[in-house]
Formats: sequence, C-alpha cells, structure tokens
Amino acid sequence: MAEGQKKQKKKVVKMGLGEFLSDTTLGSWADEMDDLPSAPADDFRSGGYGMDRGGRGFSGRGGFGDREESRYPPRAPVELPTRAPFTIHLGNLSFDVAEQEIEGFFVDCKIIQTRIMKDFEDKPKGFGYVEFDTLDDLKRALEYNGQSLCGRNVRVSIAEPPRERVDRPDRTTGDWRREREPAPSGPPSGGRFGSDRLGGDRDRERGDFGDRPARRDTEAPASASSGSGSSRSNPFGGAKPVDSEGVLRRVEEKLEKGDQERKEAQDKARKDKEGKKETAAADDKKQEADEANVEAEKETEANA
Amino acid sequence: MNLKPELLRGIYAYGFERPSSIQQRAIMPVIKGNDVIAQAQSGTGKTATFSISVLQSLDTSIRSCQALILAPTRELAQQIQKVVIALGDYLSIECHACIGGTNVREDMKRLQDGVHVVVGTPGRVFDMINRRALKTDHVKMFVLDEADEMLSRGFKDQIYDVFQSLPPATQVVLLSATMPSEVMEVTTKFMRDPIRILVKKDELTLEGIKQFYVAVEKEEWKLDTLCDLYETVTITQAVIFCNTRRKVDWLTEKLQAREFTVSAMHGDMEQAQREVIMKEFRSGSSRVLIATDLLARGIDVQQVSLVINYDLPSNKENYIHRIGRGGRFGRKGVAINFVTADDTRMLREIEQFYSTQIDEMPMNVADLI
Repeated sequence: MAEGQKKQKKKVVKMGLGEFLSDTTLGSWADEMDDLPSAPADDFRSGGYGMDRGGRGFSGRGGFGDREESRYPPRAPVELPTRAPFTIHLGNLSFDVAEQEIEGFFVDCKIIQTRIMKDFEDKPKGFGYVEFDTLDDLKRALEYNGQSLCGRNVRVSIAEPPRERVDRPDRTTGDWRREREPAPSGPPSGGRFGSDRLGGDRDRERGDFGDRPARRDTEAPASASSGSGSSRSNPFGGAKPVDSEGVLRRVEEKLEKGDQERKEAQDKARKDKEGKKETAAADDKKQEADEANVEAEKETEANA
Repeated sequence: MNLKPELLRGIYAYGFERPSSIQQRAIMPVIKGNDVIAQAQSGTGKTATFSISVLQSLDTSIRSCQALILAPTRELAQQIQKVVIALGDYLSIECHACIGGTNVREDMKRLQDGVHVVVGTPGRVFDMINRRALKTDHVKMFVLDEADEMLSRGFKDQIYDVFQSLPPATQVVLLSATMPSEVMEVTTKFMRDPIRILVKKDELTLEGIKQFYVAVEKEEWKLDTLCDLYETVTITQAVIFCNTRRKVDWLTEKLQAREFTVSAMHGDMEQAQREVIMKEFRSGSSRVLIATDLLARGIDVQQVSLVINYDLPSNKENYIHRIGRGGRFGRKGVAINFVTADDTRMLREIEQFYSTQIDEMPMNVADLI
C-alpha cells in the first residue's frame, strides 16, 4: 500500500493549483500555447497567473478590474505603521489552514498573534491577521506576498490601522441636569410628589432649582446593610408569586379597544367633514324650498 | 405605606398581597421624593416598585406628563405601560407608550391629548420632546429602568439629551438587577444625594433558578445538542439566546427545517411583526422563542421556566438578565448554558463573579422544570 503510493508519487506530483501556477521551475503552462495563433501570448509570457497577484485587483488585465474601478476608486496603499501594532492582512487563505501553519509560513518573523477570521458557524472566512513584534518583522513578512500556503497563493498586505475612535467631545462629563429652570411656560408645577403627605423635608433637602445640596452625611439607609447578614436574604420577603397575566391581558384588550375607538373616531371625523359638505348642500336646498314656500304664501296672501 | 385607596385597590386587583423585599425598601423613599438607585434580583418586582411610586405621586387633576419612564426596548416599554395601567386602573390615569416603530403623528396626537405618564424608548421620547409634542414642564419624576443598560455607551448620550430637557428639580429613580461600578460612577453626574438600595453580586443569582452547562466542545455540535433537548425545552415555555441577529435567523431556519416549531425575535424585524411574535409568546401559542439580547432584560412571561444560552452572553451583566427570564417572582427556573471548549473560561468567570454554581446538566433535567 505504502509502496504503491510511493510509486505513484514518482510519476505524479500532487500539488495545489496555486502552487502549480506559481511554480516557475515548471515554466508557465502558457508557454505550450505559444504556437496557437490567436492567443494573446505576450500577456501570458510575462509569467503565469499568480505572479503579480499580490496587488489588489486585476486592473492590468482588463476584464472585471476596469468596471470595478470605475465605481470604486482604488484604495490608497496603506502606509507602513510607525508604531505597534504591526499587523498584516492575509488574504486568499485556504479554509483548511491552521494558525500554526501560518506561523510556520513566516519562519523568520517574530509573531505576536495570529488570527484566522471565522463566521459564527466557526467556518474560516478565508482571511486573517498576523501581528508582528517589530516593523522589520512586518517588512520581511510582506515579502511573502504571493507565495503558496496550503496550496493557495496568499496575499500579504499591511493591515488597516485600528480605526481610531472619533474623539467627539464627551458632552456627558458635566452635570446632566439643566442649569436652571427655563422661563415658566405655564403655572408652576404644584407641590412636589408626596410632600404634603409626608412633610416638606424634601424642599429643604433640594434647595433651589439647580443648586446641588450638600451631600447628606449619613450613608444610604439601613436597607443596604440590612440584608447583608451571613445568610442570604430572601428577596421576595413575604411576597408570593402573582398571576398577573389575566389582568395584563385585560389591559391589553382595553388598549386595543382604545386604539380601535380612536381610529373609528378619526374615520368618523373624516366622514363627518365630508358629511357636513353634503348637509350644507342639503341646507341650501331646504332654504331655497323655504323661500319658495314663503313666496307661495305671499302669493296666496296677495290672491286673497 | 399610606397609599391612595384607589391605588391600593389596583394593587390588590393585580394580585399582590404583600410587598417583596425591593418593594418594601424602595417604594417609600421614592414616594418621599428622594433620588433612588434600586437594585434587586431579576423577577422580584422592580417594575411594580416604580409603577406604584409613580402612581402614588401623580396629581390626576393635572393632565400633563408628570412621570417619564424610559426603558431600553420597545417590548419592555409596552410591558411597563400595561403594568402602570393595571395598577392604576382605579385612578383614571392616562399612560402612553412612546416607542419607535410606531406612527409618529398618532404618537404626537396622543401626547397632545394629555397623558399623565409616558413610558418609552429614548429615541422616540426625545423626538417627541423636540417636536414639542411631549411637554416636560410638569415632569417631576424620571425613571430609568434597566438603568445600567440605559447609561451604557449605546444610550448614554440620548439619556443625557433627555435630561437636558427636563426641569432641573426632577426626581430621578434608577432600577436594575445589575449595577456595575462604571455605571454607579456615571450616576454621580445627575443623582442628588441618592438613596442606594444595592445587592451584592454574590446574592444576585436566585436560588430558584438552577443553572447548568452542557459541554458541547465544538460550535457545530450545539445544534444537535439543542435538538436532543427539544422535548425538555417544550415542557413549558423557553427562551433561547444567541449573540447576533443573524445567528437567531440561522438557528430558527435550521430548527424549522428539522420541523421543530420555534419563533424568532430580534431588532431587525418590523415593529408590527415584533408585536405579533411577542403576543403569540405571551399567550403561549408559541412556546419556544429564539432571541437576541433584545429580550434579555425585563421581559416578563410567567410561563417561561427554561432559558438556554445557545451562546454565552458577551457581558456578565446580561447573563444575570437572561437567566432571569425564567423563574419569575419566586417560580422555579432552569438555565442551560451551551459551552464550547473556548467558552469554558468565560463560564468559570461568571461562576466566580456571582459566587454561584453552574453544574453539568443532569440527565433528569426535565424533572427540574
């Protein structure tokens, strides 16, 4: 069995397509097509596919490239980072590649971390990032652009630097409350909640609008500490489960009914408006009729 | 507690007989007008706590907004609205839910007609304030439910904007099951001498909610694991949490392809559809709901006794909120966490952080639900 495989291997070398295409020792397959009359041989002779793959897009080749670019301007090349993180973007990765293999690929570069991006089903998306220790490591890594890893020519490019958070000024650092009461737009809002019932100590505590009262000396009342004994306090106290679903369903029905009534009222209002026009027209007719009657009466009177 | 008799009637009609611990501790300080930070375990009656306080403090003779309650999701805002209306049934108050995804003009009209309490989500509420449809002159009480979420990065600026439009003397009440220290720090910018009712993090998990994990090793094996559990899942009602909207869709499709009946809910869905899904789930006509963290907080469906974390949540707070969807108000609940090899550390961290125990799921887990 093993021997058989060996024998086979002598005849046929198994290699990935990308590997095959980029292997210049084999010559370009296009060479063999030289004799064919119609092939645009010049383009091919300059090297097999994949040799200049490192650049983004296929712009030199015509075809799709042009159309794409007319819509999207080409991305400006990312500049070499001046400070950490020194990260490259790895494109055209095989779905089977493991992080260790990537680390093995960049043998002479010191790697800090490697990330293969995956979707939520844990399937690799075919790209990843490698962060290097120094700028020199990164520069060296860039030279691997277009080389074959797990049978695919990987694209090595400088990763976009981490997007800096837009440093909008944080509006929320100061006091959130409005400084002072706006010009009163109506009658004053009456007493504070419960102040009549519970004594007006609130007024004293609050002071004027907007003025922050001095902090109370006493810490939060007993409540915070009362439950903190050695045993867990029961958060339910004496309360028992309440079946409120029936009550809430009734509320829901009431709300729906309200919505419907409002809608009907609106419809009615609309109809009334239209109706009014009609009744107005009818009134006119009636008036005419009345006038006619009066005339007739006058006539009869006169006749009499 | 010296509550208005009409309010008491509403409370009893709701089914409450005795207050829970948080209700006992927080209602009075709020009614007295203090700024209050109230933390309490999930499902122990926080919504009723602030609803009762708001209702007690309303002057029903003034038909304009006196209390503004904000919540992070539309579903939660609508749920709060219903609780306020139910408790205030005998007070003849108007409480409006002011949420995104609904007709703006109708919203404006409802507000201009005059309401006593507005419950809403920050975006729409601020829009209504800006359009002068919601007048804030009479607002005396500002309640932030799920306060830590409301003051986190995504919402902070919006809450600040709303704050700027409120009378400076407005009383502020914050509630949540979780109050991380960063949030407590932010509260110093607008709370005045607040009364703090806090719970230590090792007392946050409820004894009634049993927590387990299933070691699924690889992500790909989660789906089969879930299918194996399906019979258990449908004993009562269950919520299954995924970390992204796309994954919710993906999992829903996979399960439906295998002819399991499940529904899905996330923030990319149309509001009308969200409402239908919620209604079906609340009524029990759908039993398994796959959701993002949109439903992690506050949503109260009493029949839910099982929560599955198909993905572990990305923050520790939401773990508490998610598992709190089951075991409402002292009922039994079970939480099952799917844990890949990579997740093991996170699970241990959660365990340590809350001083709680997450055991391997036993064979007889169905008996616990």
